[in-house]
Order: sequence, then C-alpha cells, then structure tokens
Amino acid sequence: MESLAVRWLFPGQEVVVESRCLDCGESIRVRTRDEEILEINPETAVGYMPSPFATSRAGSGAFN
Amino acid sequence: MNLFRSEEHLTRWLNYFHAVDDYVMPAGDWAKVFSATMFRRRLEPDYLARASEYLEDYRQALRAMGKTLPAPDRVMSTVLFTDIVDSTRQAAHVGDSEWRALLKRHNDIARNQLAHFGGREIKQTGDGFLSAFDSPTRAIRCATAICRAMPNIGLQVRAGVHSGECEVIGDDLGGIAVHIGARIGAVAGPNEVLVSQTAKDAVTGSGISFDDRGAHNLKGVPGQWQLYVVVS
Repeated sequence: MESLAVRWLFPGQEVVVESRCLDCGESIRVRTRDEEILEINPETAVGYMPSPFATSRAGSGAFN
Repeated sequence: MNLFRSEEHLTRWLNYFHAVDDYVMPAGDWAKVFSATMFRRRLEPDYLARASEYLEDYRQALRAMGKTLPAPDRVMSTVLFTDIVDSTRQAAHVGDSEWRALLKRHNDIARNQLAHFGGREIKQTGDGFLSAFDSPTRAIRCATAICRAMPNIGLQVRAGVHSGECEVIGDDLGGIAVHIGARIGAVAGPNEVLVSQTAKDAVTGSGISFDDRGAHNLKGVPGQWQLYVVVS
C-alpha cells in the first residue's frame, strides 16, 4: 500500500512516514492524522510515480 | 511512489524519465489523492469486493490535482447478472450441507448455460454470477434458460441484462455499465429477466418479446431507466 495512504489503517492516530530522498539520501518526513496533513518536511518534497498505475487492476500492485 | 526533497532533486536523479512527469506532485497533493475512497475504506470488510467501484473516485482525485490519465481499455459488452432469490432464507431452511449441494447444482446449471450461449463467466457475486456476452440476444436467451431451469432444483433466480461499454480490468469488467447491470438485476422479480432499453433496442429483430416495466431509479445511477421484462 502507498505510504501516504497507510494512515487509513490507523484511524484517529498520528502516522509518521520517514523516508529518504532517492537523490541525496536526506530525510523526508510526512506526518498525518486521517484527513489532516500535520507536517511535510521539507515543504518542497515531491512524490514521483514512475508508472501510470491508475489503470492497474484494483487489489494488485500499487494498491497493496 | 518515490519521495524526493524537491523537484530539483527529482530531475537530478539518474533514473528520472521526464516524459512521464504527469506523476510528479508535491507530497501534500499526493496525501490528498490518497484520501480517495479507494484508500480510506481499506479496513472495511467488503473492500476487496468493491475495489473496482472505487477506482473512478481515485481517478477523479488525480484529475482534481490536474493530472491527466491514460484512458482505460473499454469494450462493448452485454453483462448478465443472475442471483438466487431469497437465498438466506432457503439456506437457513435446508441447512448448510444441503445448501452447499444445492449451490453446486445451481452453479453447474448456470455454467452449462453460459457455455451453451457463449457467455464468459467474469466472477461469482454472492449467490449468482456476473457474466459477459458479445451478443445481447445470447445474453437474454441464456438468462431466460437459467431462470427456467432453476425451479427444477427448487430455486428461483432473478436476472438483469445491460449492454454498454465496460472497462477491462485484467480478467474483470468494471465501469458504470456493470453497475447498471447489477442494479437492473436487483430490481427483477423471481424467475424474471429484466433488461435495459439499450439491450432491448439492440435485439430488435431477434424474436424476443418484452413487456414494459416502466421507468426506474437505479441506486447510485443518474437518471431514470426504462426497464423491460422478457416474456418470450
């Protein structure tokens, strides 16, 4: 399952995603609670989806 | 999805292929996209069964962020939904063991008819089948044959038929046409084959007769839908 969607597995709880930039290795932190985005550090962080996964079959690949 | 500290870091990344930059967004926007129904309902018990329904909502979330998406594969198809009438009461009445045997006979009959009329079983849906046909005439004749055969084993089946463009999702079919077919099937009475106006019009000249069942609201589907019951 996509890391930024994992918060829906923990309703009402604060979920922190700690990652590393693939370019420089520096940390990226995204803090959420349900609908709320509490923190994105750095604010300039971007996500890159390398394939048009919206056409993938539900229940496989990007959705797991 | 891969995270980068900024777009500059992404473009510096050796594996970055700029032709697909449709899928680059600020992390906050991705978080919003991942608020789509598809993701927030993950803990619900029927999630997997309904995942294909949620796909459009997810696409809309991407569109709301200004992203264009490749069109899914779509095919013209006639969908047939069949369902056992009052299955819970029947199962309770005959007991688990006998019900299992009855279900097997039901499935055998339905599959034989599907094979005879050239239908393709897409999946089982509780106590019935979703199947697809290239020809609406064969779909309707198959539905009629299934409905006529089931009373021989003490069951009654309802059936819904609709023709329209469906999304191809691997071995499955999805999209609004499939939902319409399911809703039409749910409206049908015992041993009835109910069809949409589209399916009825497509079989003009086939010799199949219909009675008008009037306009219906189909749950979750916009507009009113004229439905017809097969009489011969």
